[in-house]
Amino acid sequence: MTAPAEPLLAVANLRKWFEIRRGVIPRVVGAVRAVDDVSFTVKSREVLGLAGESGSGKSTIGRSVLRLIEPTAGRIMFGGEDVRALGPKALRRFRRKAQIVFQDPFAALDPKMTVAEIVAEPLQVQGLCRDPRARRDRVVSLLESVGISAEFLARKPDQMSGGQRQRVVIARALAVDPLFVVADEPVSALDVSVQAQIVNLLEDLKERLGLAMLFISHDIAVMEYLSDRIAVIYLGRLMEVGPSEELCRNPKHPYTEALLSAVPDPDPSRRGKRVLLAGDIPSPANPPSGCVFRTRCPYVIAECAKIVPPLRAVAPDRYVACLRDDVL
Amino acid sequence: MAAGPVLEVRDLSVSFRTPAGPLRAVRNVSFEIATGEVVALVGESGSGKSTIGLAIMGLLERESGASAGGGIWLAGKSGARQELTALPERALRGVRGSDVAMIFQEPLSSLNPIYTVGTQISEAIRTHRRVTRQEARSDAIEALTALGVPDPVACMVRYPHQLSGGMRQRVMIAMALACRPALLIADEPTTALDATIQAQIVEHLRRVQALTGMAILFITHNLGLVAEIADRALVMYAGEIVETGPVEAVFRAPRMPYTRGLLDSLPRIGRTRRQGRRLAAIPGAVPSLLNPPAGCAFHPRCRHLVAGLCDAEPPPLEECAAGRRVRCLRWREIADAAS
Repeated sequence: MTAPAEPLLAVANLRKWFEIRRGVIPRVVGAVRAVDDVSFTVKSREVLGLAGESGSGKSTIGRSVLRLIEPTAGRIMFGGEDVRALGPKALRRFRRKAQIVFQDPFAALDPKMTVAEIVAEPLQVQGLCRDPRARRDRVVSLLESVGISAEFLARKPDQMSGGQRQRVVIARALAVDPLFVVADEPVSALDVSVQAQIVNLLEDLKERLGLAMLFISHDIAVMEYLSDRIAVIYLGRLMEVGPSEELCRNPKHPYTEALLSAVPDPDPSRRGKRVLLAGDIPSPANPPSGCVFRTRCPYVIAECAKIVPPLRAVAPDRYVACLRDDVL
Repeated sequence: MAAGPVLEVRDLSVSFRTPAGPLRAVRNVSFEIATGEVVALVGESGSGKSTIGLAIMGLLERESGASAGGGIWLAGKSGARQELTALPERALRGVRGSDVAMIFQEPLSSLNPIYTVGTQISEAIRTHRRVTRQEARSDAIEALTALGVPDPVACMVRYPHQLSGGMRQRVMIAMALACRPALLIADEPTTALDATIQAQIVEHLRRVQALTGMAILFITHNLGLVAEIADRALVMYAGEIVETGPVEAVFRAPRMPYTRGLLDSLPRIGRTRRQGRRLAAIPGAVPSLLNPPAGCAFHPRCRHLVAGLCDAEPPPLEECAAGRRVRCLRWREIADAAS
């Protein structure tokens, strides 16, 4: 057996706490624990889905990995390099390999720029394709690869539909030939009939360009479709990690079970049976002790308040952070 | 004699004045809702589904430049059938809240920030029913309990900003239900909420509906929710109803290519991927209502398009089976080819 290849991205014990400051002379009175002790890997050409609800910290993880925000603690290795130790120059080089696609294609594009200028900008920033003609050819081929024809080059974002804008956002991210893309809710702002177009596009690009992706979403159906593996996160902590299909078919964590069962099934004959959770998602400024999910967990026992359950292997490539191994 | 419908909408059209010309948000929409029936109004952004909700509530006039045609009749709790579109604002105010109530996607903008939850629900009750403060209070607590609020007594003394999105929406629903309306219009009530919270609220809404027998017009873009909650679906596209029928039948064998396209474009957990198939996306984008396509509004995106037919003649909404209607000139051929 050969040794498994180094993962492209390895995140270990990532933590991001946002300090809460109060008072006339501001002092730290607490912290929002957006991300706490999160570890995962993304292999080359692999799509890892990061599933979670609002306040779970999933977007914070995406941004920390790219150092768009500075993590509080933890180690981020990308292609053998320590991302947190990169200086300004090295960081720019890193950004050529790792890009991000944001949720809202209406906010992500400068309304005063044309489509051609938007897609050419990262090339300029990175000093790629300096020859104007080569740059134009590159922009045209990038747009083509996302299904936007050259007639859109001179258009501005407000002359385009949401789906077309998201294609432009994706073309811009791909301009520098990245190895890895963080896609943060890339289809959530789009109409239902357009979502599938963009999901298919991401799938094509992944196949064609061999992209690795961190796919962040609250829509677990889209995630199962697009991801090789899924990491489920709740209140800043990983609950479960495993191959998409298996995790969705046979969830091992009570939260994953509830999350899957909460998705309304567009099949009226399957109406009914659900695992309903009680109560609200607690505030990440004041998370429960022990297991953060225990306040809503149908299988809670006394120990859950005392021990932070570690992520343990329950099957090959499957990890669960739950004290109870007798329920699922 | 069987009870008539609780709501009847006839030939409703709504346009908005815009700098670029009139925007026809709703075009000749007619439908009925039977007593105790849950009807889903399904559509994407710009389909006109929310405008219909506002028109029924008589809340359109407040928006600048809206003009509506057609008629809306409501059979209230008293049983009297009233033409809402002919009522003066004063009378309409009595109908709103007591016979028909509406909840919205963002409850925070509908709640008053300076009064407690308890005050607001009790006031809603006392506006429409002659009860004592004490009775109103206990009814309010009962309503919150029915909606799964964990500690309803504590919730009563809270202010809206102290509540989570899910709790606020429960408070809104409790207020809307306080007067036992014959019809509840729910416009994307769970869209802003997380999946697990959405599931809770839908479940409680369903229970309350079964208990009270009120009718619900559930406005949503989420086909999964339609399948979960509704008896009947009205599918909208570009301001028109394009397909109607019992949810089971519409989802099992959609007749309008748009409905079929929407259903096919959804990934299904545990099924789509295992079958190794791509998502069947609908090409193009939702059209502008300033300048909707000629003929069938869906024709530029339809894979069954026949040039010279679909782009020329606006299709009528015709009956395709008992209780089902479809707006497509080619539905017979398409159905035959599929079977």
